[in-house]
Amino acid sequence: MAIDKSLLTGSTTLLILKLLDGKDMYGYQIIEELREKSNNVFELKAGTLYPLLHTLEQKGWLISYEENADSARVRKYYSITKAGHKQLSEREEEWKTYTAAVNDILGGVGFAPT
Amino acid sequence: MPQPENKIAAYLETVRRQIRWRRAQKPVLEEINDHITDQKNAFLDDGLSEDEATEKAILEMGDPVAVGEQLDRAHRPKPDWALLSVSALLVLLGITIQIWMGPDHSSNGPEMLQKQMMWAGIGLLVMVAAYFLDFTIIGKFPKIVFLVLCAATLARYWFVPDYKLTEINAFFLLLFPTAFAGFVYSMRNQGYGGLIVCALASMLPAYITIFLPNMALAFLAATACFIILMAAVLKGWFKVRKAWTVVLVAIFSVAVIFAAFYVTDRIETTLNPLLLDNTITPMRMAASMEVTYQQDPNYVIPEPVPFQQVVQAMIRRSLPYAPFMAQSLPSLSLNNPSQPGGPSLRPLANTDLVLTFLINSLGWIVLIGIILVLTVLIVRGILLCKKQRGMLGFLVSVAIVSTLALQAVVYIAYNLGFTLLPPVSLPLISYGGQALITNLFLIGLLLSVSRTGGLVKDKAVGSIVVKEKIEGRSPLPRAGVVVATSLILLIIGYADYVKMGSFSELAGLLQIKNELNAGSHRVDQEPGVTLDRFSSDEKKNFYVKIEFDGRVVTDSKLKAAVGNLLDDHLQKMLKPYNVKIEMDDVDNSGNDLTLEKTANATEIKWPNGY
Repeated sequence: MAIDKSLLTGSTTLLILKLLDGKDMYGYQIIEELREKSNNVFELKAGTLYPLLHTLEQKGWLISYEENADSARVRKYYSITKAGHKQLSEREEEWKTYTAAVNDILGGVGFAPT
Repeated sequence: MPQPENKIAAYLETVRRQIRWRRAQKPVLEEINDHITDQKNAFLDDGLSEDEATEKAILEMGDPVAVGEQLDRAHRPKPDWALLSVSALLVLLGITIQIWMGPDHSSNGPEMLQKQMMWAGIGLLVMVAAYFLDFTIIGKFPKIVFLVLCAATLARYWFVPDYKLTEINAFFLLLFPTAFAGFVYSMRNQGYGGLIVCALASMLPAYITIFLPNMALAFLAATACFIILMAAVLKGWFKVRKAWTVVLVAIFSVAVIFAAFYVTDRIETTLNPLLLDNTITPMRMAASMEVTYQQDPNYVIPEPVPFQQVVQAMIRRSLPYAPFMAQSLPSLSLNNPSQPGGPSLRPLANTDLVLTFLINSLGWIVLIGIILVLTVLIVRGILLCKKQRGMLGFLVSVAIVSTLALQAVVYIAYNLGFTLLPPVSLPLISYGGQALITNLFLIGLLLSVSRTGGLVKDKAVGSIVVKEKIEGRSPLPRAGVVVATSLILLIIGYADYVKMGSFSELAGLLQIKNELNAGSHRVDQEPGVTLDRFSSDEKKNFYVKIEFDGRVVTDSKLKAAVGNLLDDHLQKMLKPYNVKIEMDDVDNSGNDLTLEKTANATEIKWPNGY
């Protein structure tokens, strides 16, 4: 199902932080994981991802380091920081409150998938 | 149809044009390029042709202009305004203090103010230049930077006139820790061998400073280098066992620093409580400060005490009388009220003893204020260190912050009467162009690191190709560089020792002055004749001024009095100098007389009639 882009924009930061909470990843990997985990719902463009990653790094929520992918190339991995963890839990709370409210309006208590 | 590589290149070029900050372009584009390659490989695995895979991978990226613009927004160079404003505040504070002290300071206060303002101007330009400088040079050419600095220091030492020996070199030596940071950076994964080479290299600047000699700079350079080394070990830079290496480095540092102090036996004089007792009389202080001092005709010059002790005793005696906060802005008196007529620390008021004088005249609150502002500077610096991700940026920041912090600590301690080390400068505040310009350069560099440091990542090591290269680089060549430099220094030091130019000459001059001081009462025996003052300069000119009362002193008596003062012994000592003796008739009857002799002449010729 194609999804309205504006729904994705606001929550991209949350999604990236959550993905990196599990393990350190490089850009391409983040896009792939996001696609897989969301059953092809979230198609994040690389052109959106990298500026966002760089901004998050400057804010100190992520740090990056390089590691060898194979003998010829290095990859830039991103890793979540303490400040990033704090942001993540705050935004998760925010998201839960928000979706709960939306669900309440859309269909009452029983509407939210568990 | 264009080649796949060209298509990717064209895409990257369009993205690049959108990113205005040039230094950010390369690392960003590398990452985008990697991404396209990954994407393309994935499509190739899916069975697409090379051309199709490239085409699709680029399409997946999105519009290059839009992507570039977003990246441009994410990468804007931002100067660290906090650090910049605190630095500006400190420089302004220094100039304000100078304006306030200026008119009252010695005879050339206004001139010193002008100079300080000029240096501040030059310093700010240097800071801006450093801000735009690519600091990674320090990591790319560590050996060259380090050696050039050693060579520059030595060249300066070689060409600076002897009398200035103790004053020079703040300029280059304050840069050593920063250069050393680059040196440590180049020793990644070199294990204990690399660590030992670094420890040796860290002793080089300290060695140069001891031999100059300037204990404060030796301490500063060595301590800052050890801090850098320690930081590198703790970050796992050498791949050695952290715990006991840290202990080892700590023991080594403390041993080196204590050995240096032991050699100059300053520890005892600083901690000795007897210094506060009355054995240090104004007379003895005067003797050590080369002040002509002659109220009593039978005055016998007492045994001089070391200058450091005089300063210490005077500071410690004056501070207990300082107010917490002066009731009104007092007119600054740079004289020493506790010992009227005695020697004063006036000439040091704007250089080495800014804080002592401010505490005495405005109260302790000023010290608290200045310490607060300096703390903001240092804490901001430490935060910038912590923000650095790349090792080079981190080490360079640590070097700069240590250099500034150590200067401040040594200076404040000295001004409170703990004169273990002569102060270099109160960063950005105290009078003196070299230190001001150098410190502003360092702050500019720190700003540059904080601006661009995020873009400089440590390259990964560990892949087969890179690993071989790294392991092939042994620390031996660098060890060779260090050993060679040490040898050159030793030879130069020895040659200088043989020449025995500088120090013996300085000592000789001091002896002449002491003798003149001691001989002053011989002149006074002739009523109406007094020794007014004497001085020397770097061009081997020696100047003596004598006052006489032409109404009571006849020509022959004048000649006898001067002959008494400049006896055979003193005349022999004055042989290497151009001597000028000015005799001033206080009666203004036109009997003024000037005698001169050139270097290597032994006798001072009087005109006929005397």
